[in-house]
Amino acid sequence: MPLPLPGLLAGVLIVIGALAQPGPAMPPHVSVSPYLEIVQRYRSGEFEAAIGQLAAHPTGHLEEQVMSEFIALTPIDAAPAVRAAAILHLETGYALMQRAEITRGQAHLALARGLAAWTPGAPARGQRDAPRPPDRRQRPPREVMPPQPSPRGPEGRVIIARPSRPVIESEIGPTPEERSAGGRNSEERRRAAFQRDVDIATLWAYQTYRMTEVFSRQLGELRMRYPRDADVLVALGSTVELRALARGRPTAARARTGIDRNARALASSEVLKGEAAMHFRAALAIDSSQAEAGVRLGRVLLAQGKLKDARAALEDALDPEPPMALHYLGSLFLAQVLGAQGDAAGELARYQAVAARWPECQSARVALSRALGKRGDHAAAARALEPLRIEHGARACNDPWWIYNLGQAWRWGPFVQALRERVTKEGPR
Amino acid sequence: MMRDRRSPIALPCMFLIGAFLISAFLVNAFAAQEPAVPRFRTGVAGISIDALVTDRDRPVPNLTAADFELIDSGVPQQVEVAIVKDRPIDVILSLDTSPSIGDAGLRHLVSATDKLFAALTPRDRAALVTGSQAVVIHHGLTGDFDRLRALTRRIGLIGRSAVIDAIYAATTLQQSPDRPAMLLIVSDGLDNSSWLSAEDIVDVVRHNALVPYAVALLPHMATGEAFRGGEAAVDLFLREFVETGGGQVIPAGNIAEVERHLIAALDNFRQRYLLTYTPRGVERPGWHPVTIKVKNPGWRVDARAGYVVP
Repeated sequence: MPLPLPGLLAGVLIVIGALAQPGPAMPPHVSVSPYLEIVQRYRSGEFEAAIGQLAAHPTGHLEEQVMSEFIALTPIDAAPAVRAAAILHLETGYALMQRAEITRGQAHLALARGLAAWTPGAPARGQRDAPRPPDRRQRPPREVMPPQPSPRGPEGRVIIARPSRPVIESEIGPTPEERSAGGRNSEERRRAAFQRDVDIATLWAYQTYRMTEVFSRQLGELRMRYPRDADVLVALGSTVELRALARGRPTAARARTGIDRNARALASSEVLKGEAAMHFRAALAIDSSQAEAGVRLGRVLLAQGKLKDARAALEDALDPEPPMALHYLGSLFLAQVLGAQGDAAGELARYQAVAARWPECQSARVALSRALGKRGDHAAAARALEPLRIEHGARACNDPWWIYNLGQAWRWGPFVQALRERVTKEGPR
Repeated sequence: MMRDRRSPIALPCMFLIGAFLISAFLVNAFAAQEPAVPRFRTGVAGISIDALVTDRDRPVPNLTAADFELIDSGVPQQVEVAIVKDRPIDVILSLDTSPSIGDAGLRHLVSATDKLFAALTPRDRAALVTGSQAVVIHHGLTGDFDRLRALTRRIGLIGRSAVIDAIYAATTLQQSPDRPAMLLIVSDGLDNSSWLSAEDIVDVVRHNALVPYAVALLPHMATGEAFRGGEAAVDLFLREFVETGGGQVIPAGNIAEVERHLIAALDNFRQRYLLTYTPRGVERPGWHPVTIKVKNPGWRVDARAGYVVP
């Protein structure tokens, strides 16, 4: 699979401004360059500081420059540093996009993918030790910085030994040789898993910030690369779901007049709902514990009017109890299904249970209030909204519903936390 | 001495009267805190429906019962007519505070609400709800406009947009069907975070005596941008919602016009007539379609399309 080089080279910017700036005090045994100091800072657990330092630099830097920093290290030192740098750039990209610095953020994300796909010092696949003809995708990085002097660690250990050239893995599947040898070795599997995680995380970042074009391109690429990956299928399904339910959302005019002014859009919506359901089912077939696929499938089936199936999908997704966001949303959707099935008491009880468990979550409060109002209990409907008198910032709930239409945005935090733990634990420093 | 002339039961009586007065005070106090119970005034007291009569967009004054014909579920009714401006009113503000409003827009909005509060009388009351992705009920109905002014200064723009949920929350603040109440919405019509649907909120206004006015910030309403990227089609919804409630949509080309439009909406509401009647020949639960006509066929009548008897 090609490294996202266009994005990477377009990632012409950013990054390591710190190259030109004196960094904060660092453990003395790490420092080789201001950029690597930032990476080391990240590996030492100073995540926010490192992200802030990298994000603060206003000027650009070529991907090749970044790679040249690592080429100067021995492969054994470089590999874990490169992995840490990949997550650092991933987080920096996300942080910049959060600040609406989309172009810079995108460049960091592209660089994160490039670093995750790169094995410092390893020979190119199928070429053993032979040099590879340079091509656009797998050429050695162009030296744009003067060679750095070889620094020494506190114990006199030379940590810049020899330059090496990057090898960019283009496929995650085993090569024919590897297949004949019984599969890939554990290091390769580890690297492939890491690359896949960074690929997925960047996909979620694009999805979160509605970068439709780049998201679609990357999604297509990941579908090819990871055809049996449940997370990719859920990302695909949730994108289709959003399109389906937006088109299918009936307008008040349609409800009043009974006239469907946009029959084609609705028909298209029905097709899309079916497609979304197919992707979620495929994800569940690969990984039956994929609760998000179950929750989203339930919602799509509800929109299709397949209430019995929707209820079954949601009940499956809620048992065993999934993470909070899915538990919360799945319970609300299940209440909607019960209401649509005519079980008003069950619907109300479900809303009450959700509101009792997460008392300051807005959507549950609004849903409960509306259900009470429909039953004619308007005083109770008004009381149900009492938590909305609390200022937004003081509420003990950041409503998962608000990011439901942003795909897997809700998974970003825990996922990146796991990646942080992975890269801070491994390798020499 | 006075004390000596009291009967032996005077003290217990005074105690009981005192207890009664305290209880009554407490009941009233709690009743005042009780969340709103919106609805139409129905039953023996009759139905009240607001109607605005205009001649080429200018309100027509001094109409009497003889000028109106009201038909409830196909049956003509005898009405009494009053005018809103003679009564204390409730104004429930629902302000869109999503980032699409912009910081400059927010400053205009705060300034506009200042002018609106200044235009209310001491007998009137107002309430304040804001909606970004988070809906905040800043204050229920109150005559303390200084407090409301102070609250508007704490508003910030944040996150996404839940216009529908904010409007819903505002509708729950109506307290008394005997006081004419307007729901005054300022929004650009973009919604991407509401839990409730357009149908929900239109259904709510059918069941509620609030008269909705929307100062709709263009250009979103004009360009239909709300359809893009899966956003809810609330531009259509907003118009539908307001028309169902018998109110008016006031397009604002830019946020700087909001102040003028808020005052215009308030003046417009005060020019409305209150048509009150005891339904005859239509005593049944459910939806009651209502048609209001005036004798001059050239005049326009804006009123809700009916009401619901539970």
